[in-house]
Amino acid sequence: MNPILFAIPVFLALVALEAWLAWRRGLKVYRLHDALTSINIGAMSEAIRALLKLLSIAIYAIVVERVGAFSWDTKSPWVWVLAFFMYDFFYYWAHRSGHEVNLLWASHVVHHSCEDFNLSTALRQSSTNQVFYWLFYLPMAIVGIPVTVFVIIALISLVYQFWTHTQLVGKLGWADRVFATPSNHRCHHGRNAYCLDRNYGGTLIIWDRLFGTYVAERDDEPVVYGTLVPLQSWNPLWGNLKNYAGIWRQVRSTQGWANKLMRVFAPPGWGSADAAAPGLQPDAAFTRFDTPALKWQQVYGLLASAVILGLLIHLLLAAPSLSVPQRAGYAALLVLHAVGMAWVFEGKRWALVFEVARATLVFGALASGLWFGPVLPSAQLAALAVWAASLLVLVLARSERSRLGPQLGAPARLSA
Amino acid sequence: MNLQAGFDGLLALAALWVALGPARQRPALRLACLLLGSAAVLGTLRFSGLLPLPQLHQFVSMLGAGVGLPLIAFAVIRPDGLVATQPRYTWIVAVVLAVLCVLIGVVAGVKLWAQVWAVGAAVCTAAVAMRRRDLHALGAAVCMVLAFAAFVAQLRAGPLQPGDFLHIGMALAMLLLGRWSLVRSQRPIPALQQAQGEAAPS
Repeated sequence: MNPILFAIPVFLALVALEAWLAWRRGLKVYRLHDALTSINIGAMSEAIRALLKLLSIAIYAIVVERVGAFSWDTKSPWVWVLAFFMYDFFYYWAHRSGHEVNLLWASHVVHHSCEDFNLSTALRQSSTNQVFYWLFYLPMAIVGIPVTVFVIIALISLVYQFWTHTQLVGKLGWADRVFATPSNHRCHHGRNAYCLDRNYGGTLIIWDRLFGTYVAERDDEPVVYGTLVPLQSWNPLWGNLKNYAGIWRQVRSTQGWANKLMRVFAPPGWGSADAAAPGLQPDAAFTRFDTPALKWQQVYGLLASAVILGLLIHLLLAAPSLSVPQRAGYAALLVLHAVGMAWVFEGKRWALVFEVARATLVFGALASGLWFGPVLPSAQLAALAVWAASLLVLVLARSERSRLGPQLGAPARLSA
Repeated sequence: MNLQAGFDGLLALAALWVALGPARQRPALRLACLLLGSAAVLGTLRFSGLLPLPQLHQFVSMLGAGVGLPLIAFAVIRPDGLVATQPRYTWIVAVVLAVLCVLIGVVAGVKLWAQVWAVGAAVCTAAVAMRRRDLHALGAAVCMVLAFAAFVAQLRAGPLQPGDFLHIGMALAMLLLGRWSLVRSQRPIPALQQAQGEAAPS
């Protein structure tokens, strides 16, 4: 069974726990729109992973089988220790390349587009990273580290990295000099000048110390989270595609194949024009993207996110028995769902019509049993109930927005 | 030490000599020679029985053919071009070619992929060298084409196996490329000078 299925409830429970702790301490660490966007971007990423059938692991397994130079005894603890260090080392380089190669940054930027920093940020993962990042772990496959060892070590690293996305844990003394800790990772997510392109380590921070990319969190300069060119949207699809669209535009407008190549493979911002990119603000003047958080809009966000997670869990459970077109259709449905929710958050004019049509199509299909595989009668009833609730909440959200209309204005940016 | 290991060792010495000596200023040629040299070292270890890693040897050999030979073609056909003279462009081309090799040659199992690139690169190099009457490059390219032809035709002569012809031909090609690089190094490389100019403090 897909281990992500076990991780989803645990991660969400920890997000809720962190939000509660922050609230108790009077810290404004969470904004509902931002947190739900992060969770839905994560759900989208997992849905697409189900579509691509764990591409990177499949490639790894094939390379181990056809090229693997040595055979390793998985019962030996030394194999696991070696694999852990190798994985963390290559993770460092994969992550560093994710920041220093424009094409890879276009994928990884999704994770950094969050302008808050909390455990939900850890779930905000790119839908396209599995297309690229297998490449960095090929040396492990070439020396023959077994795929089970690779997958388990990768999962341990993934779970470890979850807790580093928090502001509730301060500096940890000697641990900050050896491990990737919340303090180190806060710097990594900062847009402050001293934080840029620093602290890439996944589990160990020693690689950063070794290769000169380590920086300690400063007490005199609070970290401002986000990217130099902000996303300014709650839309998960745009979040995943924005930088690719930017690269495409840059490549088209650049003269000469060598310069075009550099637009794709050089560090982000390569070339002259980017230095003056619109939206580039100094840290002191930085304001976070925000939209009015209305009561019914938030209720709709929670309801829609719960549905997305429910559908994702079903997709992950059903994926082995679905064909590729079915998985693609299911993933597309989830993406549309998340996009519709983002449009409601952003108060788009067409959001109500789109969401009513989408909810009618999705829940209508589910309630009538026309779904990806057999549908239980209880699920059909639940679909009808959620359909009715969605329509009601959408209408309430719309009327609330109309009532407050003149006071709302356009999406704004908040002081950091 | 058998003949196969000996000829692989010869190729390793020739390739590493070019990589560490004459091709020092030519990143494309240098990387190609390092790849071919690494494959030859693994071949020497394999056939001598010291450290037989046949799968790794085949993999690195595939990279040598599918990445190294096209890089040699870049180095010879456009010796003053960016790919031949600037490491970042060399690496971009090498990584893209290597990814294609892994995806098509290893994952999809199309083993002909790297060989087609290698033969194509050698033939293009020969054609351009002939047009320019560049004798060292032409000699190197002809050696490579003949070596591939002998290998594909499974040519055997006395104790020599098809792989031996490939290694002898490639070793000769490396030596000629080393000579070609030495001769060319007496001429300035415009792109390299430009890059050095950009790097210099103003």
